[in-house]
Amino acid sequence: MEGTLEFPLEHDCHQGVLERLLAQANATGLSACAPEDLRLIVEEVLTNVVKYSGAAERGASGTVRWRMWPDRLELAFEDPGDPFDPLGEDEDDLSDDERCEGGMGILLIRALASEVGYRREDGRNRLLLTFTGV
Amino acid sequence: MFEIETMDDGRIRLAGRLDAAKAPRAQEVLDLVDGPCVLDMSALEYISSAGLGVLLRTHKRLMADGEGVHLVNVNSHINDIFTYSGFDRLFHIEAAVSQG
Repeated sequence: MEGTLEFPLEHDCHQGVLERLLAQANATGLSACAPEDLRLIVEEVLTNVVKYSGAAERGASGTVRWRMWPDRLELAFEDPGDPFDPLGEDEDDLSDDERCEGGMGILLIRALASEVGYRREDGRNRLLLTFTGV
Repeated sequence: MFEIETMDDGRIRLAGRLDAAKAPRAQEVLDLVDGPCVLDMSALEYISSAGLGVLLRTHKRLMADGEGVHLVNVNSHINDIFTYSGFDRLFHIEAAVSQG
């Protein structure tokens, strides 16, 4: 199954997105990503977008495009914020202060996802995450 | 739901979900700690990077006096998060007894 969620980029917007994705995961019998891991991914990605992309201040919306099978989950987070590749940071170079300021979220995303990718297309940041449970 | 409370033995117990919304409350309590700090995490179900930031800031502050934060009764899910974030190299961590 697949779908698209559009939502205003604002504080705590991840809650509504998460509820929809968890309901779909339950209906699909998703095993590729545990519910607590999905919760963490959605919070980390959208908190970073709201805090750092500048899109929230402009009242913009974000989208999550999802494709889901029992053993595979694909998520594409899109926002019209300033160009920013969160995967460009070298995790080994993070200072303790940077870990406090959001770098840890990227570490967690990298660790939990089977594949991660970033593209800047049509004025939008696209963060692509795949989960296969491996 | 998130709870933080000081127990009779001086340990601080965290319970529920420590996410971005609850991190300021946890920081407020931990900022008052002066001296040895043992956090009992047996009832902590979830922690995000915002919660990790609270623990790290507290640890750094207390390390200035040579103490730091000890994390005990850590379940396997939370322990995985600590490993992914490199906390296992920074903190003294004790897994929950029931962990295989």
